[in-house]
Amino acid sequence: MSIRVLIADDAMFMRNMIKDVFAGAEFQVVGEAANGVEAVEKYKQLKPDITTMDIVMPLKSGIEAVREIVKLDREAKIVMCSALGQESLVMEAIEAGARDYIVKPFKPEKVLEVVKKLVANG
Amino acid sequence: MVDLSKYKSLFLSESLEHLQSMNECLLKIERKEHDDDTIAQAFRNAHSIKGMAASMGYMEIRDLSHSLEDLLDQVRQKQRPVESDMVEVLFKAIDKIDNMLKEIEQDKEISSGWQEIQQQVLELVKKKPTPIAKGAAPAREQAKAQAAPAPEPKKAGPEKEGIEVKVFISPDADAPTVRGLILYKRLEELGKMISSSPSKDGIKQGKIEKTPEGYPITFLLEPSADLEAIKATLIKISELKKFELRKFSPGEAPEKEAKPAEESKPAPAEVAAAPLPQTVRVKTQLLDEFINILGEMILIKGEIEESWRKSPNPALRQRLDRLDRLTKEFHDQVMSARLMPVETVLQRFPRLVRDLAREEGKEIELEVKGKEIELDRALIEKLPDPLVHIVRNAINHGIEKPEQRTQAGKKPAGKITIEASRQRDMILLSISDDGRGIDPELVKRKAIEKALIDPAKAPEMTYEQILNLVFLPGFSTAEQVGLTSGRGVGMDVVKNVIEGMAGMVSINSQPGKGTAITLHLPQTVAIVKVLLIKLLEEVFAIPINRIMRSVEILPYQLRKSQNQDYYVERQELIPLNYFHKLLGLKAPEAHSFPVNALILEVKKKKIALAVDDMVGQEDAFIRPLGRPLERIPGLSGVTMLGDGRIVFVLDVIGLF
Repeated sequence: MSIRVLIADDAMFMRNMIKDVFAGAEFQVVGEAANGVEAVEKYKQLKPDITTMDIVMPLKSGIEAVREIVKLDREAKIVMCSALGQESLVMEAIEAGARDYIVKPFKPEKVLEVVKKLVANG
Repeated sequence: MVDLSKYKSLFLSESLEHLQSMNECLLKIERKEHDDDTIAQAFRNAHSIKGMAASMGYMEIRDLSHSLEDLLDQVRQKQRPVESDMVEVLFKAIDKIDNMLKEIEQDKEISSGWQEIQQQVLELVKKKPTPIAKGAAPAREQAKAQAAPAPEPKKAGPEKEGIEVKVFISPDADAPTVRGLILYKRLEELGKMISSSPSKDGIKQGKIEKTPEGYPITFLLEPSADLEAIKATLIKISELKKFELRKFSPGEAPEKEAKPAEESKPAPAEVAAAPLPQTVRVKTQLLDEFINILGEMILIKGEIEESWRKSPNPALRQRLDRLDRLTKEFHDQVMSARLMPVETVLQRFPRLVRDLAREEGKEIELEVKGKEIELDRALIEKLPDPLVHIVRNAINHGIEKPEQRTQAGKKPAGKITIEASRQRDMILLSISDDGRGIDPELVKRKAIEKALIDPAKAPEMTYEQILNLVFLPGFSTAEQVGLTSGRGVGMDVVKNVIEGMAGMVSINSQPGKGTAITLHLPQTVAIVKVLLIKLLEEVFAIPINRIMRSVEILPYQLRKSQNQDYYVERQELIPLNYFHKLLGLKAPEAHSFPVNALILEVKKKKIALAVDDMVGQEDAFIRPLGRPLERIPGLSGVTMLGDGRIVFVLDVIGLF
């Protein structure tokens, strides 16, 4: 069974890049969200195994989206996608319930490592 | 390694969108019309560009936008007020980024100069920022200050057993502090945390020392925690170099660390921006291809219709009707996929008007209305040049300098309005200003000078006729060639471009009050509803949007005056002519009643054109004529009827 991924990022550019990272057979990108509101909606709808979440997004920040998703599903596995120098925001997201993080510009191997370990961690 | 080239065009287009948005925000900031949302938006734009550029490896753009992000962040956090020199530098920086993007697009070397601008931005960032409201520290700092006085763990607590977990976060971890916090949270889920070194706050503040083995953290958990479960969890945490587990004996076990009370206080939500439409990007070629295929489908449908007419078959009829509905629906959908809001062209104007107004020492306010109105992308693509030309004219020649305006009893700041609106199935785009208007004497003088009109006839010309002289090739009233307009590209070029898109240009002006130029454009191109008419057994097609209505004229509605026939409609006299004459065909000697005629509006006057017969209406897929036929005035294309007959599509307005 492939790992179902939801990608939340306001830049299509970033979404495409992340999508390509998950192009292997183990994964299936089931949805994309371009803002925090959409991220929460799509999460409810799709119940993905993994959600990658940008922090700075319009309408609702990634952090707020994490908070809402975790409220709905304590087991949600959300990986924050952050830029360098955003540590304090990422920590806020972790406190809110995000499970891990990756830093842009990211290496595909690293993203896969983080995600695979997170899924394995049940 | 990832092949980045395939992301390039997306990177460019999204970055340009962000730049455009920043431009808009800055214009608002400059006019002091901004609010917190505006600043947050600009910050987000800079942030997004930085992230994308970093991923693509365009370090120059990454660094420059990073500095913008820092500066805007200070504004966002209310650490500094908005200063005018700041706006100026920001404009400079985004222009530079725009330039660099263009260089990337053209595969050129990125030119120098960006570092100087980055330096200017960073100097502003470094300047001791003065908070706006007295004593109002930025929200995040405040939160930290409240959370800070967590008491240091007491030494020598009650004698207890426990589990010591010592981890080393790998030295190349992206953000060891974040990793430390994740470890803290995960372990906390497995057992009660007695303490950690560094403490949770220490971890969050980055107080983890760096050793050759990585970043060490030691956690003390209550003994009830399951050792195996801890092991299983740690194995699956990323960026861990190694870990050690041991049951620890009573001794210096500290008290449970006091947690900051306000931990669950919600963070301020990111500020809302306009909702993004759910869209995918499609190559425009693909859309054109759809249109071509659809055109073929419509032609074939017509052929089937034709053969049905020859041998009617009810079952076939039903299916034909269905096919008819489906192709129509498909047509509508494809056409709507090609539509883009005029906003896409109008976006650049606030900035353009600002820059040109400054150059000219004028104050100009720009109002854009109806930017949501949609047009076919083929038209949108051709609009920028004509629009820029018209707007430049308005700024250079229309709007007066503030002193002159005050003398004339006007507000010192001039106003330019660009308004898109819908009228029947045409889209009107009008550009109006409240400047000095067009001086008829000046126009006449120039036209005579350039031998465009006969001096003898000049005195009889109406104001409207005079205004239309500006569309003649080679006409330019600029007393002095301006920096930006009056450089040979005249209104005649504008007129040609617009008419090439089956549109029209009209002009209206009132001396002293202002000028308005209106572009009349079809909403969609290529497939047009046409009326088929017959002239001497020959069928022609006329786009229906050119026709006001068709009439059947009876003898009592006809009047003759000085060799000219008139059709009388509700006391209005409309000149009636034979269509044949326009095409150089032989017109009938006498009317045979009822006379079939079309009422058209040409140059704001109604005209009735008699035809031999009206054959019907059709959705015509119009093909361009190609050389040399395209040079014939009055012909705008050809279309094929169901029976395979080729029919010319007439540009009736062009026939006058």
